[in-house]
Amino acid sequence: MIITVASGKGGTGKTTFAVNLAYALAKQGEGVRLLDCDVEEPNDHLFVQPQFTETSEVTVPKPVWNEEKCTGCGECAQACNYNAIAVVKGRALIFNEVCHSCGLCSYVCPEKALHEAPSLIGVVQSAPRNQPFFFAHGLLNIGESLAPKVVQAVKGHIHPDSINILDASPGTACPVVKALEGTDVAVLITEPTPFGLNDLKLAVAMTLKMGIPTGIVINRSDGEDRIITDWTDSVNVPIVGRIPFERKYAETYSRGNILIHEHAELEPNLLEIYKALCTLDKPASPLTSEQESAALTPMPATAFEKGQDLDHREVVIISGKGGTGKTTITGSFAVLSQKQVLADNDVDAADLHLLLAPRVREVHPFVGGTKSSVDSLACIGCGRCAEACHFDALRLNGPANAVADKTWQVDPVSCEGCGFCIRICPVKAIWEEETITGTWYVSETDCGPMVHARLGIAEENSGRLVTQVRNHAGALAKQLEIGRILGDGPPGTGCPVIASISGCDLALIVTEPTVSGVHDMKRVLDLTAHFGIPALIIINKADLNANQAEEIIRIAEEQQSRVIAKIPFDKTVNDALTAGKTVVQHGQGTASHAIKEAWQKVQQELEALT
Amino acid sequence: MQSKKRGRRFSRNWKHSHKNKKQTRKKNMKLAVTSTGTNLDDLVDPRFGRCACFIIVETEDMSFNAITNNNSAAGGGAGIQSAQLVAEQDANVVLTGNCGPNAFRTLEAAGIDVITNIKGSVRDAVEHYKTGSLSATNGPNVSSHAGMTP
Repeated sequence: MIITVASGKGGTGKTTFAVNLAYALAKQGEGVRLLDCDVEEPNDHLFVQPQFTETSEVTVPKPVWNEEKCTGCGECAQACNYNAIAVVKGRALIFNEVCHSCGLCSYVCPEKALHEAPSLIGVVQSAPRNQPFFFAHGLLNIGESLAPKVVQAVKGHIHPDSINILDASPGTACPVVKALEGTDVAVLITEPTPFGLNDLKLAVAMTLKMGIPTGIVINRSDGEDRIITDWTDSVNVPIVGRIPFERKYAETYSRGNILIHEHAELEPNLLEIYKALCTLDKPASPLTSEQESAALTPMPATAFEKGQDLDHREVVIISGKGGTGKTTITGSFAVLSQKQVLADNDVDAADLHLLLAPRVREVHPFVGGTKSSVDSLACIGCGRCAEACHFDALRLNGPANAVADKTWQVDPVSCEGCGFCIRICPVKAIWEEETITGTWYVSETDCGPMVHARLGIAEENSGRLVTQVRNHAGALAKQLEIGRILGDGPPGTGCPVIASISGCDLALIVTEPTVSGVHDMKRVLDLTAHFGIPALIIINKADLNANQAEEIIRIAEEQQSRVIAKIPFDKTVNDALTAGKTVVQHGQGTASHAIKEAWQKVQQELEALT
Repeated sequence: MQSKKRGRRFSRNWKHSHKNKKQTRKKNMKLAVTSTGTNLDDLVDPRFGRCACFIIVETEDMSFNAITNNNSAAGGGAGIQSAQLVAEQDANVVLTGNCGPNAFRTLEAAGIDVITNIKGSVRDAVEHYKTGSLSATNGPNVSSHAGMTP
């Protein structure tokens, strides 16, 4: 039995659910394996605290250059679709971080001066003697991009006789698809807010497209959760359980403790969910595009209002960990600030539009890269493409033609667009196709123009789409003479986050006083320091755990940053989100007040920047 | 692929091939300046790998050739390919705002000096260089991905 825990949105409680389910099932005497497949930000170990006794290396083939054989012809650099090789003064320079390990350079080199050798990209650590269950996780080296390879390696610990619980990373990108491949059932964790629903739709579209039986667990449930159930009823995806919204659960989590150890009532709840998961059927059909998400359609344009500022400053809000309240705070700041250009840089799970009700004016396709495509009339079925492909992206399932009973087809999810197959095909039946991997929009809101985007499921190159969004926001600010850009960044520390903050004037980090919130904030502070960007910290749900809040203040000082605001844990925040409003518009709760104060501080800080 | 390569070689030689031989003897230097446009009066582009344009200037007579940088929209490895492009132009020195580690390593291998933190117009940058007061940097001055946006 393989259960994969996933969610479109970060911070919905994936880790909490996976870890607690593992404890609950182990207590029943089941053989359980908990495998953390979030290799970019693994967090399960913070709760399980295992003693790792085994470590295995994850390697991918990378080209090695032989100086004596090389004639400096430059064929390799020409062939590389990732710009990972430069040939200067007769020397080939290979950049391993940019290399995608496709093997094409070694193939095209006429002198055989390049060969492939294994190179380390991460590790898998396991704790076979951990009690009460087997634990393993993967760690991708910082700066490496081949997360699916490490996920694959973690999945090597799946045992057919055990209940294997896989904790996937948030979102719908390649590493998540990799974690979901071959699983028996997917559990999607969501929360009853418009953000939760929006991201749930993306996640459901992904699991149904993959034909995986899917159940939904609503975390922080209000009991009814109409916002989620209205949609799930319409698409026929069952809700297999709920975890109520209780401050005491959040407090236990913040200390890094196991919920079922402190709150016994949750144990039968989780076991019921497990039972329900075991009886799920295969989905009948994938979602239609209408069900998948409400399409944003353009409306008649009116002129954008012009400002009078010649220069603009860009503030970007990031968090490291998902679900800390980044978008909630960005939305409130947008309302308080009134006039700015808004940029939703979270292109994997854009949510800002749910709060600010944009009226779409322009819709643009985004060409994210190239992929191979086989002409099924010309293919002779020889299979040389499949032998060459390092990504296992060719499948013998195309229609028959005059020469072959079955022809090869490219699986677009696995294809990395290296072009090896194109070169090796003896009958030139494969060509390169530009792929539209997303859409970006220009909209108007009550607080100024907004640029936002949506990346397709399991598509890459989100960094470039973020760059597109920011570039256009910058151009609009200049053109309309608006003095401020307010950006909502993605979670994590990867390429899209780098693309969101590089060159901005101020980064605001929204964190929370929980073990994982602090863990991930450190990584983000490293990132901003690395790029020399001033970073200030806002602690959300600040009164949840005083010790962790102190820890945040301490780390901030260590890293030349400062905590400028503390926003209390306030249930009315959830009410505001459920109503599809920003916190400051919705009411006069303690959080609303604190956010207003925080905005004053941000304005002062912005003025102080020279 | 072959034709792409020939095209590059062609563009390298089309303007200055005759001058070059004479001028190198007179200590002429060939500068590659990252630029936001195709003229000497355009501003220096602070990004190396993703600059809009390279302006290749002969210090002796200020003759120049502008090359549009097709790498500015590359998915990855823009710095590496831009450095290779500059090396193919036989430039001696790069003048730019920022230069990341991958580009720096490539330029270093090509024996090209890198001078960073250059601001103002391309013409001013070249004149400033000619006074001899600028010195080459020993390493990259920004990290990878720094030029993802302007």
